[in-house]
Amino acid sequence: MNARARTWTLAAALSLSCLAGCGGEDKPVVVVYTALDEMFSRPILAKFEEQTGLEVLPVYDTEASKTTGLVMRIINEANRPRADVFWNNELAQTIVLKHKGLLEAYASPAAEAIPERYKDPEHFWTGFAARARVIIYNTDLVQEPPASIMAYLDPKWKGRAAIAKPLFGTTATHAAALFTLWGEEKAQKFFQGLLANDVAVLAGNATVRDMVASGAYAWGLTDTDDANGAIEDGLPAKWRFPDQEDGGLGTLVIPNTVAVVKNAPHPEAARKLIDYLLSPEVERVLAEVRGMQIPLNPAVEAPQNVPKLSEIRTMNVDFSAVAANMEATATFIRKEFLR
Amino acid sequence: MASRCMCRRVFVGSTLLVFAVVCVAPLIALAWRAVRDSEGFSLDAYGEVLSEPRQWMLLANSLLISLGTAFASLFLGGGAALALQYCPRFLREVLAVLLCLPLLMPPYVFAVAWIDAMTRLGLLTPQFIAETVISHSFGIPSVIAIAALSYYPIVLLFTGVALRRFDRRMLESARLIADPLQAFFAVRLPLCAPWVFTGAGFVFLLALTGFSVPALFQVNVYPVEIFTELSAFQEVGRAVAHMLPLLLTGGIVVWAWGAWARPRQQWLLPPDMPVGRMPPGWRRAGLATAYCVVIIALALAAPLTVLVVRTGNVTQLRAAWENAQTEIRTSLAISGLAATLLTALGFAMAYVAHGSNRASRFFQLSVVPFLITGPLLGTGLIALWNHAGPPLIVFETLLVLVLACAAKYLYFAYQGEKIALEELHPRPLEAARVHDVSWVRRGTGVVAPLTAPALAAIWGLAFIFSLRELEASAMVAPPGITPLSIRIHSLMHYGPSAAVSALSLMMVGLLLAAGCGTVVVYVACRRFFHAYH
Repeated sequence: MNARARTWTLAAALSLSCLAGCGGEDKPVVVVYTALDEMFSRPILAKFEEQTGLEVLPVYDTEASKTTGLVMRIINEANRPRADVFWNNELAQTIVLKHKGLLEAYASPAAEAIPERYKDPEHFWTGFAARARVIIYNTDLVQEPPASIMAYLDPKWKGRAAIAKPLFGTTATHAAALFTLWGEEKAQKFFQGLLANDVAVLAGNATVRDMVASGAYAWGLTDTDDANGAIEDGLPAKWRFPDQEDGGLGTLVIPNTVAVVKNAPHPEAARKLIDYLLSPEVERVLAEVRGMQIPLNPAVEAPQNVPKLSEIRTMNVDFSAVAANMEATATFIRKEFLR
Repeated sequence: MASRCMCRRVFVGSTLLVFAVVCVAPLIALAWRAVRDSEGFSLDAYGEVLSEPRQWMLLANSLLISLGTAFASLFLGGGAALALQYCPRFLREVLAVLLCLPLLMPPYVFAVAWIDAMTRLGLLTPQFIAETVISHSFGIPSVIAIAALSYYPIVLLFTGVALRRFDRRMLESARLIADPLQAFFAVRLPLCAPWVFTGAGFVFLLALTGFSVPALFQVNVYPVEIFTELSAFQEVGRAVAHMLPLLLTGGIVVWAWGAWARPRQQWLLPPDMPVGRMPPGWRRAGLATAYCVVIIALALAAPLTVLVVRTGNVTQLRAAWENAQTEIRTSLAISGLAATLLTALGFAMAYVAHGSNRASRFFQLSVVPFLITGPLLGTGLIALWNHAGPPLIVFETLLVLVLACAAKYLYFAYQGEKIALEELHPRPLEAARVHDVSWVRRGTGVVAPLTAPALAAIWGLAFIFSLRELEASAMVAPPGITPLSIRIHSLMHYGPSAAVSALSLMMVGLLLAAGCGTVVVYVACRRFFHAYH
């Protein structure tokens, strides 16, 4: 081997060892895929690092790929998972992963105080810190806000209401919940009625909030975190829970969910992180920030502006059935809404 | 002699091997994944997907947007390149640089900022945006407008090259027997058209595979449908089926370019020949300058102003800079490595293809990873590299992001270097051959130095595109390794906030620095190697 060849070989070996070093694990780590907005999840993960000395390697979701980008990653990586923990900001896609056999059961001791209906009976996932679906309305345009999602079909609001595309995120879960609760025929009629009444279908819940707050639409359906953002920004908007009358449909409450990924490379660390995320401290922090997540643990003291779970009439729906309905609902929605 | 043959075989073999690893292997892995996971997803099932009535809507929307963007870019970029010829000399270079800058702004950031700018200036009301732009009726024109304002610099650059090479003596001869308009259509347009349409072809391909802007404006095109299949249904098989029309459309454009435009590009003079100057004229100069200024205002000033206003103050910018140090370093490392790999591999492929039609045809496959869209490329890369053992050196490090960028943009690097190589004067190579210089040494000792300016330009463009890359990277980024483009999009949920605007400004700054660096290296290479040879 001449001098030049030796130099190149050495350079190549050095480069490879440097790059391999990038993935090296000097201290214990835990890998978390999180769909909760980075601005809220990053400080919580930093606090966990500080308390335990474990290094957290997060993968955040991007607005371009919504929640489902991470779900797709977990499915694609099934033969050799990289993630230890999946922290989803909703529930249906977590159940989809459970049905695909990609999660591992873990009954966290920290989940004892969480109501049973927000926990998987087989312990594959646990819910915490929820958002609820709310009606956001423009206070300059609406004196009497609609009390029910059925107002979407009222000719009085023709062309004046908005909804996010029901294919992604919490709106997709909400649509599947309605299909589960009402049955296919009634739900299909409802969604066809939206189109007939010129309800605007926008890119996401944040767009619904922005468009209602700007006065482009009188009202729309969004999540508590988005609605609270409008209030904190001092925009002319307020919100209310839909269908709260006696015997009413109730509103859908969608918790964050955490789960251990099957064959996770660091299962012990994963369990520690889940215990931490389900702690009252994390629920309190998530209630205090702009996202205003509703604590599911009744012992958590939340700020005044955060509604209490016990005071909300929630939609009585089986989440497993909702997840099972997701694909059929999405097929119908795609056919009707994406023409 | 035997060792020379061996050297050549090693060079060709290594090039083919690296090409196969970067470009072909992810495609095979994706196909395998689609077949494995879609139980019984037979050819009939593909036929069923492709014969759904929705396909016509998707095809129509995709073609409308791609063609519309290409033509609008032609109008903006081609017009601006022509206008620059008439602008006062002291303004020409400044205007040219400003007109190229929108290329540095990622289209999604550009779209959000532009809508915000129009609202703030009172040109569009929220009501108008909601009812027309974002909802239904004007979705496609809006996507075309945004994409054209973002991509027109590509046409501008290609038209600029054509006009710079155009020999004005031909136009002057034509003017002896025809009026200016006839001379323009009979002489200048046909000679410049192959270059101009090369730029428009690139824009067509970029618009065809673009996801973020159509998704923002709620327009259903193939990339959005592929994303929906993957994210709402987790159906890799159906997503791959939807990729086929994209491949077919893109393939037709690439074939048409290769058959029509490519051979005709050589009608114009090689670089550095005297081309003559435009005659001065104040009225024409005024109109041309006004045209350029309007484009700069729409494509650059409005969105940049919004980003600056949204950022608020220097403290916010400093905070964003301090919080994003790791992401910036990561992005620079990925883009630098990807640009180096693209330039080296593109050069090797172009040199191998120079003497072999078979290799040239094989390397046309490099367009496929670009056409299949980022999420599917990411899926292919995961299927290829996510295995225990040596593949993890790639999958668990930033190498996987380097490979994602390299696979996506290899076609452009290869074509750029092929053009540079074909334009080389044959004499230096003939001289080297007469002196019995080996094939490999001719490549490294003669061709590489002579094409150094092109290599520098390609490195710079590859760096810029790799720095902006989002869709494939978002699928494969290893835990704890976050490029700046992903960081911006992960903070995007609440619209263009102060932090997002500050990070976007930083991204534009980095891209601007990369662009300036490329121009400096390009000019230095031209001077040095021109003088040397």
